[in-house]
Amino acid sequence: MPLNALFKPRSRLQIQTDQTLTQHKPKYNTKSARSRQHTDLRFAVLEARLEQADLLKKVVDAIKDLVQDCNFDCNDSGIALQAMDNSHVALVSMMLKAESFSPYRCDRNVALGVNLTSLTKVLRAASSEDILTIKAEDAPDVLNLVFESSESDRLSEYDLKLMDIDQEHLGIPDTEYAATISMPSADFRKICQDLMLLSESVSIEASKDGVKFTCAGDIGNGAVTLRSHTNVDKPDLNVDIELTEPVALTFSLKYLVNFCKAAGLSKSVKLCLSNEVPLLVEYALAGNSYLRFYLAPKIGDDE
Amino acid sequence: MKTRGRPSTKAKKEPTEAPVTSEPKTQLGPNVANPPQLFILPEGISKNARVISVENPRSTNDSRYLVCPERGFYEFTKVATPKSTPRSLLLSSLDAEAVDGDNGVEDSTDKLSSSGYIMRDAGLFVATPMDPLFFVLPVLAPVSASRGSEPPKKLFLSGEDYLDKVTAASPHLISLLRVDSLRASIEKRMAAVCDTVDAGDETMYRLSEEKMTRELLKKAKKMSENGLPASMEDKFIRKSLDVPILSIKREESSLNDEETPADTPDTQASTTSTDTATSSFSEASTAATSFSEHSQGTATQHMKTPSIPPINAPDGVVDLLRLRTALFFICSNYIAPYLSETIKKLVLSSTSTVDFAPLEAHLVHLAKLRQEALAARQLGGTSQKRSLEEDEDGESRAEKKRKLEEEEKRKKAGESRGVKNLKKVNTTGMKKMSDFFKKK
Repeated sequence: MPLNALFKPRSRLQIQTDQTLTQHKPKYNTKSARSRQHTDLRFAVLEARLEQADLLKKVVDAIKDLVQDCNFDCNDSGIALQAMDNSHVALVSMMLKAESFSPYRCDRNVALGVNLTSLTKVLRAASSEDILTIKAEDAPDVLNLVFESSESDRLSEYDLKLMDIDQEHLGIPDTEYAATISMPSADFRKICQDLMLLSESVSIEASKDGVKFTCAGDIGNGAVTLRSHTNVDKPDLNVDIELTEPVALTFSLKYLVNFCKAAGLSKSVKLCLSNEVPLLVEYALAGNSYLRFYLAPKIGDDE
Repeated sequence: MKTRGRPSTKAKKEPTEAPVTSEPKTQLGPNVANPPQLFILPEGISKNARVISVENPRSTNDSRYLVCPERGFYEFTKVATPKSTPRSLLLSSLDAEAVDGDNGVEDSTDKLSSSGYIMRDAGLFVATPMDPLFFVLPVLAPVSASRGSEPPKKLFLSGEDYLDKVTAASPHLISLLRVDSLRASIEKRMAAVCDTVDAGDETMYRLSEEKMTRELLKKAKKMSENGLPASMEDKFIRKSLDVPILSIKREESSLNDEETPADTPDTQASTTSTDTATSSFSEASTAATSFSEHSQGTATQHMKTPSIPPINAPDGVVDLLRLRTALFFICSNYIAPYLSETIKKLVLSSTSTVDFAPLEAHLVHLAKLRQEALAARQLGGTSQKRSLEEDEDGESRAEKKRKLEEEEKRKKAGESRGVKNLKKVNTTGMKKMSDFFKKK
């Protein structure tokens, strides 16, 4: 007689129990943080090692001024992030493919709800050259970060408390853009910063002749024009314009300047424009990883 | 938390005065692979009572039930402490000294009980009476007959035939069903939900849906008229009848929230005699336990105690909702899914003896109100603080206040300068991202 059949927990009751218990749960998952100092690594379902902490530092730095809290969705193909700013007019989409890590292991899909400011604080403790390993257990309360100095034998370990974040994901279709502009990321940053001193929005016009960034403000007007340009010695400085039809759109400079914080991640940036759809600003990272920003165009009365 | 136990036959056959028995036989060292379980069995069950496997009418798996030929069926309800506050039980006999002195030679069981035994897991299995009707229902209304509308298929069958089908699924029952008294009690319950015909010396039964729903409604009524357990009341009654209000009346409700738990200690009487539903819910947590005891204690005197803010709903609607919740609870615990669907349909249909129409109407009305409140909140969304205050989706004021404070604290700590600056950006003329990209 299988006696143990009798003692099966009754799942319905279990659920009731949980609900009653979690009703007044604080926002942070404090279950384990109090009871032990560091994540028990034996049960880690996510383990990702970055040769250079720099990558994550820069990515988080670029996103943190746009988004406050967001989920890092980890699965076997890598770590993804999608989040919108508070007014929902801009969206950031990050993909760090498993190839960017060495090694990368993720046994189960986990969402790491992180406050980016807090993550920045922890990442600030890492030097750019440090080897960074992040770990999390199943249904994690904390994200465990380990920094190994490549030069000395210093080993720093941090646990970052995670949060439950309700987030809706938007499906972003592959779009054929009317204009695709590749240019040095530093140039794009300079253009945006310069024009922001004059006005709050910039009009980007792409035509056969090139790309023209224009703005008009109280103190005067400004315009920067770029033409296709190939520099054999320094391919980083290439400007490449692909155009199927002319486009002219207006964007908020504050947001663009914000996106440009990612300029340190990649030497070049790709701007994709089509009428009536958001601008895509893409920073390609090593190993097919990317950091993409989308920004809704300004339409109507503003100009 | 799957545990295994060896219910000692001794414990079952001799219910002591305080019917708490255990079965520690051998102590295997610090880590017992097969730790004993603690059962609370009803007082005065017959010596022939057995714990056997019977097909669970809801899940159709074999589950354990205590069957007494005289008293009928008992199900086991586990009463466990929440994982967050682990407890153990110390079992010791009341007259440990006496046992030692009187018997020169004792068997190992006595030794153990006299020296006491610590159970690592403070879970109790409480046997609570269960209507045998639930075991017969699946054979009275087999899947094919109850699905769709094929009334001609139903035939009158003798009680014997039905019981044969029951024992086919639960062979352990065979020997117990030889006892006439148990048989008779089951057939009596069958008669309550069946049309019967006398054929010679035998009575033939056929399920009557009308009688069945009436019987189940009776059960639900009984369960609800003394008040539902507090956790159910809170979750299913209060929450679903909560009227969205706009920023008045909150003061009093928050006060009352704090009063309620404070009242509990003096009403901690009646748990031992609770029915299945209450005891299973009181397992929830210590907090929940005292809550349910409270509501029960007070409910027996009068439905609405002054300390609980009255539910704002038209006359009768609250009771209807309680009745419906109780019925659904019964359905979801003791009745197979296919059958409970039919029952729910029958009960809620216009032909049923209880008219749920006013409840439906009120719930629709509430849903509309809630939607309006939500819309109003979204319209006035410029100030986040205000919009949060107006959020009346069934949360108590205390919780809202806590949330608000937390949110603010979190915001202050977790907002970068960039995010703050972006708030000042003029976004007129910019569409939202969700206008371009569809939600997944």
